[in-house]
Amino acid sequence: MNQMWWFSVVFLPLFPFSAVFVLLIKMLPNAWLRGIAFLLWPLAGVWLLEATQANLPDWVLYWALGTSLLYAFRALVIRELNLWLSYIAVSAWSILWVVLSGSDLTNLMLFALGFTLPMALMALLGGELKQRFTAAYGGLYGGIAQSHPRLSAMLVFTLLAVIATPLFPGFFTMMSSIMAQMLNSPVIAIGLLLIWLLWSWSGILLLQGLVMGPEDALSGLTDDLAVWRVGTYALLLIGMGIFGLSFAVVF
Amino acid sequence: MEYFVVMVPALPLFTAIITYLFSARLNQYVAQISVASMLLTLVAATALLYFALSGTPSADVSFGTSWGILIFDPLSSLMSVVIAGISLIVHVYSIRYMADEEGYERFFVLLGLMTASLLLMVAAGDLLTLLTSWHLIGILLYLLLVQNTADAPTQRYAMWTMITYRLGDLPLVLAAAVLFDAYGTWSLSELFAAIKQSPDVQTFGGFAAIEVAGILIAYSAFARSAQFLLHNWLPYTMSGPTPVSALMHAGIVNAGGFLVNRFAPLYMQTHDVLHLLFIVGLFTAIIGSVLMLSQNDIKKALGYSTMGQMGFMIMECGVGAFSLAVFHLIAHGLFKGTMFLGAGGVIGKARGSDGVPKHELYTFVVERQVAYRRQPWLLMAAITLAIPLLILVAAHWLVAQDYFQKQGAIVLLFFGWVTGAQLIFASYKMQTTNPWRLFTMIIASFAIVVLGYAMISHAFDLFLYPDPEARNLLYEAAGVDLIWFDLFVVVVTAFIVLGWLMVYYAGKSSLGSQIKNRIWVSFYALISREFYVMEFYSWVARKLFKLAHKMNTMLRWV
Repeated sequence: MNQMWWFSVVFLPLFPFSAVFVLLIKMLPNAWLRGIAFLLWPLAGVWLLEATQANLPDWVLYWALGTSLLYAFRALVIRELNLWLSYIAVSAWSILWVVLSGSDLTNLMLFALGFTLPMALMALLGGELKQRFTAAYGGLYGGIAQSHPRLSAMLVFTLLAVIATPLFPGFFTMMSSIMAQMLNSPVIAIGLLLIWLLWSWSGILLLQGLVMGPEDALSGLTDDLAVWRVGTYALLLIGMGIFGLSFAVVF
Repeated sequence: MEYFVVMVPALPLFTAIITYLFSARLNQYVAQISVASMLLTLVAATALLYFALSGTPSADVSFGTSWGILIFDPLSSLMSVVIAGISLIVHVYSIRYMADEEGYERFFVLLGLMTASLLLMVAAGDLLTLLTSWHLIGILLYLLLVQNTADAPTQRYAMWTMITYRLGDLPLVLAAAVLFDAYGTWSLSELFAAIKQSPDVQTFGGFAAIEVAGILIAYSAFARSAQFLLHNWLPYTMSGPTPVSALMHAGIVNAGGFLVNRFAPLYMQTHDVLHLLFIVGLFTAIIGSVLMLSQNDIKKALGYSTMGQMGFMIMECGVGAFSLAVFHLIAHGLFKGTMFLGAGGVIGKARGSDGVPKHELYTFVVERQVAYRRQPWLLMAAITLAIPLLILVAAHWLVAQDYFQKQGAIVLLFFGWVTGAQLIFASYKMQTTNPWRLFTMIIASFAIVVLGYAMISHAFDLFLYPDPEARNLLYEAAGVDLIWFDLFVVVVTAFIVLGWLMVYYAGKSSLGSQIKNRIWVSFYALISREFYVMEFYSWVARKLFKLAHKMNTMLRWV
């Protein structure tokens, strides 16, 4: 039973098993399915770990850190939103292995949700982009900040949540991981900081490609997000913020 | 009092949320509501400063959690007034300045959020709140800088700012982790009490926790205050809206100095960290000033000027003059904010006429016409060296007799002396009908500035660090062996004298003039390319992108 934790390396993806999730996201035909996948995939991994109650060998920690760093680095040049999101997801979920070494499984489920909720929302927003512009690709059109201000605002805030900025839950998860590793292994803590930096860098690059730029190519388009949809997305984001603040209680 | 402590950061936050939610209905009224809110915030902050000045003891305002603690002390109350004041001016200025811009309401919402974050940062009473506000400032600054979403250079430079800020944010996370791990508390008050009690607690690798945390905090301060090698974002973010530039230069880059002051009780117990601050600050002050002199764009020159000033501020911390750094950051914030807000008007007027009266100063500074008849060299040299020294010594002796016992104070006096001597030296060759009147005026101005500076900085010292033991500990932590100190003074003096000699002999033909010219041109090329720092970073980024692309191709993008 103890060796069953190996199944988790697919759901809390570690390289090369991470390819399964990235391929799945590529294959799923619509945004809702992708959103559900982003939401449930890591929870399955955490559930498996809970079921096995395994004592993990130390080298898993380095494997997880390596995977996270690899995908965060590779995300730097990704301009397609769903692919970028799947890379960041792999990078973030690998960190849950690091959290695991300093936290109990109840917290791990919370932390997993903290990472996945913004990703699921981002997947839905990716669908909104595809629906309007046939692709969610940075640098292809740009300038939607002016033509679609409401959609842009939601994209910006959700992306900030994905790259673990305060007060979103990812921020506290990263804090918790770094806290857990600081004394045991400063190298891992520094690695986590590097990963965090790479997320920010790639996230801003993607954002600039999608949202910023002159609106010439899009002038005349008036299909911005409906107010009720913005309200729904905003409420979800606020909910995530409150959820994030509740994480601070863990400290 | 507790009510005001909470009110100061909460008011702009609450206003930003309300105006965002109702921006569609409020339209232009968003600005008026924001200004009114800022005015109230300033009143509340002033009330806090009054409490602090009237001797109300420092206190924590807690909500029963280990985070979200707000601190009331002289530093937070003083900084709150400065931030609220500058933010109010920026708000008022923006009402008309931003009126024709896209995203008018968004701008005011972000400005309100930024002010709230800055106020939260200065009032943060625990590491988590400090970290959260510190991170938020970087993100909000990015969003403010990209106000013009269509302009490509604006986006690029805003991204540089964001990345540099992230580079600075993350060491602070490590520092918090080290401190929490070593002392087991998030509360800053408890942390500082624990550090005072047992400063030698060790962290990983057997290093002292406060030394490690001190370096990491200093690094965060370096990134926020644009110290050399982390400075490139500052002069290039001028394409953002002018009010944002004003707020950034007046209230955000100064955060490095604030952070170091906030952790003063930690730095008091360290041994070598302050030396790092001194070296980095000194280097930045010199490089920033040199780069400023080589710019032909007023806003970029102001940007590099800020870099130089920030270097000096960090250097002041490095010599133990923490309160002087706070005075410096406030003074700099006020004058630089004014300059930025006035820069647009000056540029506009200069397009019609430069407006510079062509009198003696103009012919000397701009046209470089030196006086035909000069005063006796020896006499002028004596005046140049002796009078500034006399003024400085007298002014500092007046405010505190024990001032000269501190190495840091001597270093600052030395810089003041050099500046005064430089001022007189520069005017020595100036064409004027009555040179003695000119020198008297210069010396009188210098004396007033020095006396004012000495008295105000002394008052800051007494207000921010009322405990004489704490002040002495800071100077002691910044102290070095006498041999090193003397060596430093000799080296710096040699450099300055060499510089003076170069200026004195500039333009005179000599045997080595060709070689000298070649060196000078090479040096100028180096400065004009800003020491190739940006080229280096761009090269590294290109290589990283290439590598990431290669890896993705190899792994078939999965």
